[in-house]
Amino acid sequence: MASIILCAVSGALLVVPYNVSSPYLSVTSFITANPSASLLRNIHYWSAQLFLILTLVHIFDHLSKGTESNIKKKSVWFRLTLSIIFTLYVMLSGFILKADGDSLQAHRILSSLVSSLPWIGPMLQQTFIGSEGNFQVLYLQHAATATVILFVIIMEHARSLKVNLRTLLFTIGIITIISFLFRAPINALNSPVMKGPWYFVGLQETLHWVSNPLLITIGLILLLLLIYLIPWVKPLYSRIIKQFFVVMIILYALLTVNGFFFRGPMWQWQWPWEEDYKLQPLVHLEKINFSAADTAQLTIIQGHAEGCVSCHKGMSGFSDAHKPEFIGCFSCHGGDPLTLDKTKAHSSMFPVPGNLSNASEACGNVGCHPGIVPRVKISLMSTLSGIVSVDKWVFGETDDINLATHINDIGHTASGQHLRNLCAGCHLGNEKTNTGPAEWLERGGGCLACHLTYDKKALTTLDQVKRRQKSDTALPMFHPALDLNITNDKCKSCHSRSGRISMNYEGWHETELKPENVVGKDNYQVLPDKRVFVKMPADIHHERGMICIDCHGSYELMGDGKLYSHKEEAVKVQCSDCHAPKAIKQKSITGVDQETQLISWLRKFQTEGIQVVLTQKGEIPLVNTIVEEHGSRLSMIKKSGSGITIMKPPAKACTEGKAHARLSCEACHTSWAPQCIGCHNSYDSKAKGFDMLTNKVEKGTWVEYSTEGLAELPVLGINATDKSKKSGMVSTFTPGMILTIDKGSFSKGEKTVFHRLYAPSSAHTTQREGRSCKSCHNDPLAIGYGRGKLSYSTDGKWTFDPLFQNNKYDGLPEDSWIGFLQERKDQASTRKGMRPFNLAEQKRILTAAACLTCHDATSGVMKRSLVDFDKVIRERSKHCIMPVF
Amino acid sequence: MISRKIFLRLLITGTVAAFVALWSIMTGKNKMLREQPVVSKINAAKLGTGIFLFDKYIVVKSAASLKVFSNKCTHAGCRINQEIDGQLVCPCHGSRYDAATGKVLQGPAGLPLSLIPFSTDAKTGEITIKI
Repeated sequence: MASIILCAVSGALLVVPYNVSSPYLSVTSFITANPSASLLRNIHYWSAQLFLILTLVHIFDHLSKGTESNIKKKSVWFRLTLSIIFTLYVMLSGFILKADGDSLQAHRILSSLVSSLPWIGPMLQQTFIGSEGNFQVLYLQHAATATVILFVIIMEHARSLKVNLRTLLFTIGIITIISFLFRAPINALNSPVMKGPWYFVGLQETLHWVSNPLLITIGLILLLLLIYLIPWVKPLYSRIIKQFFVVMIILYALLTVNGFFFRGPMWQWQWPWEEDYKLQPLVHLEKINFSAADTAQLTIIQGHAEGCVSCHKGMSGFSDAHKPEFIGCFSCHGGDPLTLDKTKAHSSMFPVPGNLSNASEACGNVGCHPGIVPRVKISLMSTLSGIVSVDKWVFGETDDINLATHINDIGHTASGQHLRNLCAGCHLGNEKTNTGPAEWLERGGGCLACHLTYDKKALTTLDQVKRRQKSDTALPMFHPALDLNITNDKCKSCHSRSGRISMNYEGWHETELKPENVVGKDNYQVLPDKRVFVKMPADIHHERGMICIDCHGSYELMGDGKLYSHKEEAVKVQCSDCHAPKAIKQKSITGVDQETQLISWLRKFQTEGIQVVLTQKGEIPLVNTIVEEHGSRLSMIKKSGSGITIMKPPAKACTEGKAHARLSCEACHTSWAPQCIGCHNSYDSKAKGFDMLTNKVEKGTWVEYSTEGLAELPVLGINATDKSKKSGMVSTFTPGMILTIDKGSFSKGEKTVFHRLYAPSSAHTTQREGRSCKSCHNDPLAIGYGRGKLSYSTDGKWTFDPLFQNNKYDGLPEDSWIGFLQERKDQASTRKGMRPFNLAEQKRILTAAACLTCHDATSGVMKRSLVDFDKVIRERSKHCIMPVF
Repeated sequence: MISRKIFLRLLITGTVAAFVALWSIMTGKNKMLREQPVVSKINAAKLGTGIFLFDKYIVVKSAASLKVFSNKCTHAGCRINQEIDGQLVCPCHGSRYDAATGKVLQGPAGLPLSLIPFSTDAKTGEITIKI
């Protein structure tokens, strides 16, 4: 009785700040800036919960003791049974009136359940629930009708409204203390996790399993009927009904636990040990502060109050879509938006939103980018699948070199530890922990890795923030932008390693030099991590002003929702998409997907009548391309803002004849690629190591001893996964893993293993002219034999004198891929379906090489050989010396 | 002769019945008045292909077709507010629908999303939806 009186009194007072025409705004406003109203709301909520719990306990107590038989009048018992409905109605309508996302959905469900009742359903729905988006009916019935009915029934039941003063004071005291400590629930308007009030979470779980909600409505009515029947049926049946209810209560409790702890966004099942497990807090801590609130500061964002913007008012620097007047601060940074207290507001906030650990709640929130975050999480830059699977394979921990896997699942095996010490830092899931632009040594950062832009003003503000004294009260007024300004530098922190494509592209090759060796010297660049790079020819696309994202679009960089094993599966764009005599695939920009259209709009590209190139693989629109003149003129709008460039079709030499029909574009047009000779890996159990996955210093580390990289023309081999030709395409390769691993240094008893694996390379050093004929046919490195001297004698014998010694494990020269005129049947590449030339292919290459020994590459006979090599050989002069293999 | 007791009972029953009838008619008319169709216009020609979640409906545009679905989950009436990988997902109980067809891919919902008729202005490409 005390709790319902307290509830009624607090409810009557809440009528003052509550505004039924803009309920969510009024509730969020008074929680934020009217501490008395907020406290009253908490009292109203907690006293109501206490009333419900005590009512349920009271019913249970009566039924377990059998005291229901004391009631002699059926009409009294009928009204008491009916009061259960009214109690639940008052509770649920109260839940709905707070008007957050959960409430609005609950309103719809209640409306739907009640309406589903035949004939009387629509009447009840209209009378007690009202139409969607209008709380007038619900509010008045909650505040007046239902409450009055409830009191009438209580009066009849308890005979009086008298309450023991001590009990009343005790209840007020307890509820007030709870109300100071815990906030009555209030959620955002849009949230992927929608949960009903605690007493209906079990019902929500039940609804998940029942296709027709009418069955639930009928079931609930039948349960009430059973309660009504308890006093009037034979004692045996009465006992059975009560036992049935005990079972139902246990079941309902289990369903409630299920709904609370194991249901996540979209009511999907989630295990607590899953990475994305999200448990909504059971209670939310409150901080009623009568002195801090200043209602004059309150800021309204899109129909709700947000305390954050009240303090951080006037902040600029944002891209249009992310301006606080549209999305506030809470949408990205979390925290508690419904307070003006700094500590409370900043509790549990994300100082660095966009890390993959919080991206689902920040960037990926409902109404923002919910479709993108799940894609990013399984994209190759997050999973590092290729690196992991190959490493696991060389360590003998998997049989599948194409295994689709994730960096977070590497464990602490020899390979797992190897990856942790040498590779695991470069993935989007690596947490960015500092404010400021992504640093060279701070790889990862989820969405921020690409989309966070600090301009000069933002950097100045950052500097001021770092030098800020505790006594300073002025808040920073400039925020870094979240935009599409994805410069090449953002790619470099990761892609300046391994294949080093970011550096190659701009014409820089890594050396073993120290910064002090190159002081004052031109043609050298020292990166912030002290690595020294020397100038080399840059990629022609770079020279023409193109940046990484001109070719690599959103579906490559953020993933397309598919789990890929290796980069060549994830990368869709290829040279021939743009460099074609006629566009192979094209589409009107107005007919492409929403994401591409949005990018086009944000970049202010013209859309009227514009056709864009679609990639041949995956049909992804290249948003910055323009197809004109019936497909015969292709151009690109450079995203760096440096104008438009025509994308020329391939030269005749590329398309004519069949001799080179199997050559990929990069086989000829790659000017150089960084290459190593080999490396040795051993584990030092005593040295200090760094676990790049956890970012912690640990004892013991794998150490790699490698040679200096060389910048040379790449090795050629066959990529049979490229289906452009049935027998595969000739593509570029570089040494991927020519390495020894001293496994015994990690686990005693294990042997040293050796692998000679080349990796497919896309060096990003495209040159306009193709490489020379001899650089392929007469160069032992290009064929796969390694560096050395390839000689052709007058008796038609090819010989090879290697530069490097033979490796003790396989007897091949250290830098080779295959032995001279030998074949490899084992796994020779870091991919299935990619291999060095087989013997027949080597013979054919060397036959052409024999021709090139005498004939100039530009001679007529060599030009004819490009058209039909076999014909040229058939019609050769008697002076020609054919090779003897 | 009808006794006074029976007469009173009949009178009370009649009065209650009359009130119920009034209630029924009142709510019926009220529903009609409150739920007047709201007209909404979209320039579909400027929409790309994809799934667009609006307040009251969902527009699904592909190269070949344009469909407007109600965003009311056919299971318990929740508003569908998320699209994941071409599927429309209900946040309340986890029903999933194929955005291209509106068909149920995963329960509890049993019925497909209801299609909302619309008219298209051939000149401007603008579509008019009444809901």
